[in-house]
Amino acid sequence: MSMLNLNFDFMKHRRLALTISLACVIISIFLLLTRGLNLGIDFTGGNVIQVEFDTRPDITKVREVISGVVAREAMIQNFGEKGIIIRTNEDTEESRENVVKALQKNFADMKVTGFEKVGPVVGGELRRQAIIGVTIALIAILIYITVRFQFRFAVVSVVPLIHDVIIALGFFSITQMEISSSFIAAILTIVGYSLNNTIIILDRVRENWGSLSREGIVNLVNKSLNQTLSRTINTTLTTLFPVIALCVWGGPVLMAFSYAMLVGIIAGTWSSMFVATGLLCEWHK
Amino acid sequence: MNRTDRIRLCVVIIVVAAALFYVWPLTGRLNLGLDLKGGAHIVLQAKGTPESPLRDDSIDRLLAVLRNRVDQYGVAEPIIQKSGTDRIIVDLPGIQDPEAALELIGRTAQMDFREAIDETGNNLPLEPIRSNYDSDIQFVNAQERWREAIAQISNASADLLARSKSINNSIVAPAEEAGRYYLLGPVLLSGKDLINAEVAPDSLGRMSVSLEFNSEGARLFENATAQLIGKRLAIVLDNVVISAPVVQDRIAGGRAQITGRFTADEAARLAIMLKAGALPVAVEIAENRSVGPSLGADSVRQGLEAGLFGAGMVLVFMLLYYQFRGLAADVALVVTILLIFAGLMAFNATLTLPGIAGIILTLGMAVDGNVLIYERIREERNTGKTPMAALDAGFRKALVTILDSNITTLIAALVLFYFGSGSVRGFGVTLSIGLVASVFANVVVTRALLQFFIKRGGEIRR
Repeated sequence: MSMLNLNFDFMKHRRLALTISLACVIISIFLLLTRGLNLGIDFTGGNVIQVEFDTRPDITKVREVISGVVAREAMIQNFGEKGIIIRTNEDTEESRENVVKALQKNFADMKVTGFEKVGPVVGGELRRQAIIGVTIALIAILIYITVRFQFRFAVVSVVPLIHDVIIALGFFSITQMEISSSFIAAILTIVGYSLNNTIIILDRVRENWGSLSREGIVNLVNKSLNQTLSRTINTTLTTLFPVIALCVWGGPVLMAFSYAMLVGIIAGTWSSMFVATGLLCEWHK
Repeated sequence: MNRTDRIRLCVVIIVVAAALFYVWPLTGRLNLGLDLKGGAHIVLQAKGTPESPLRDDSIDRLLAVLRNRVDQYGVAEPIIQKSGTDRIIVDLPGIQDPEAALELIGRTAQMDFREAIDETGNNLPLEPIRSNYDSDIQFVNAQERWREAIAQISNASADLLARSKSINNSIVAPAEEAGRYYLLGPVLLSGKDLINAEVAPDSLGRMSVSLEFNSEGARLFENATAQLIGKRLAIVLDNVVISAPVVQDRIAGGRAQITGRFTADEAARLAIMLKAGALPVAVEIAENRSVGPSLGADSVRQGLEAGLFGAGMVLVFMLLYYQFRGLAADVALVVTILLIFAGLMAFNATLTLPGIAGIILTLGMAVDGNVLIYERIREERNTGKTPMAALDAGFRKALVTILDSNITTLIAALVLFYFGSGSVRGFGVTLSIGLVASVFANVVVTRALLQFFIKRGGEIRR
């Protein structure tokens, strides 16, 4: 095994790193406010119909057929090899039946493989649940770290989490990928992963805390980052492998979930190494 | 090896053997979510109407109606449960025609009273089970008799159907108990004329159900009973005969009692069903998700592929980077996967598509413990410790970090479990089980393996 004595001066450029992060967060918030998110029917209410054809017709043809029966614009996408997925914002049963009937009339080889309907009440509840869930998770984590470490550590480890979540949301605003209820699961997993990374680095900072007066906070943080560097790289890799596998082979249903994880892990690794530590240095000066 | 080490190795062997024994055979034992095996998930919202406002027992009446319908539809393992105060969740796994199911579930209850003109005689006996018979021949004979009974019933019901064609407005409807069919005359009065149904002991103290009609109902009921003295009056809820008492006398005044050999539970159930027909609860479909069996199968296949590729990459990376210690980490990872499946079965958890994604993610995060431990051991070796001493110190120091980092993630997972619903909840369960399993594998399994390897290596060198 190699005996590398790594000594990168990570904290030398901490201001630059913090500025980059801040810029990403501001751009993401700007995108969220202007472009918004492509919220799925889990949140907005509506109908989703998945159909399959022996030979898939052109989407524009399907759109023509559907525009006759749906008042508001429907979202139509290819799904898998032979399927098409149709989303409308009308949340009634009749709306779905009309779409299916119209398709059946025009495409003899069409088969409904699945459908979903979410009423407006349920959608609103889910949105509330998601916000409450993420908030409670963050508060619980804040308390745990305050008890195990100290309040300052808790704050500098929660800020990167918010950073990661906002950037993941910003990514979804750019790509306009649809957000479903499993996105909440992805967000909370990102929170868990990023926090994991931060805790491990801060844990090393705590261990080295004894030499604070001798080395100063910047050197101490640098030493801790270097000591944990091979772990950070290896774990990021071993976590990225399955996520990449999910992106490539996981299929269309898991697509949004997988990409959210991919972005979240990259943002999470960055924020643990530079944002949490950079903030700690700035705060301690 | 000292005592603690030997105990640790024993624990590992026992846990792994128990998990293997528990998990085997995997097929058919794991609960798959509706998104994987296909089926319909329907959430109904009860709605008050001017004729039938929502009351305390509205949901109970609705539940009775839905159970009645779903039982007749013949879905394997349906789940029908209350959710909150005014919602009901209906899960119908594996159904082929979700549209038809939705139609069945979503309509308002319909009850009426009809004359029972005729019925098929016998109930369907229970299907014979081999263990109840002494010899194969007896068992085969019993099966033969059972098949004959089914054939008889289907012949008899076909007869009824043929006769029904010559009687105006007559129908053939099944009874609640399997195998009995009734030929029913025209509607004599409808459920909306029934005001109330309650369990009441009769004058002899036997259990009975009392009925109360409105004035229109009282008049129709008197006419009906006058016609049917000595015959059966069938009460039909959603085309299922829930009771067919013999009319003893002409009943005027709008009050009647159904007596019989009821247990208290049976009487209560009948009263609820009657009320359900009398005061139908209007429902609205708040949410419905249906996944066809082929789409579910695709998801399982893709999840499995992604899992195998992901796990493969992690296993190879660990082996290349950490060599023989990587092998120990790989064994620990396999144990983690085994424990996750054992845990899912033990908690009777449902595996959903996000759940599969959770397991795949856990694969990557599970080796984090190993990475932490190995990097620590390397640091300890660099300070000049012997392999065994470095191992002990490495595990001791890494343990705190592993616990802190996993507990914080566990907090997020538990929040998902508590606040999430449906498949998100399933994800929370798999993630939580995965975290606990991976900590055990990292801390206990890896340590036992490494001590075993190093001891062996040390002895050979000496």
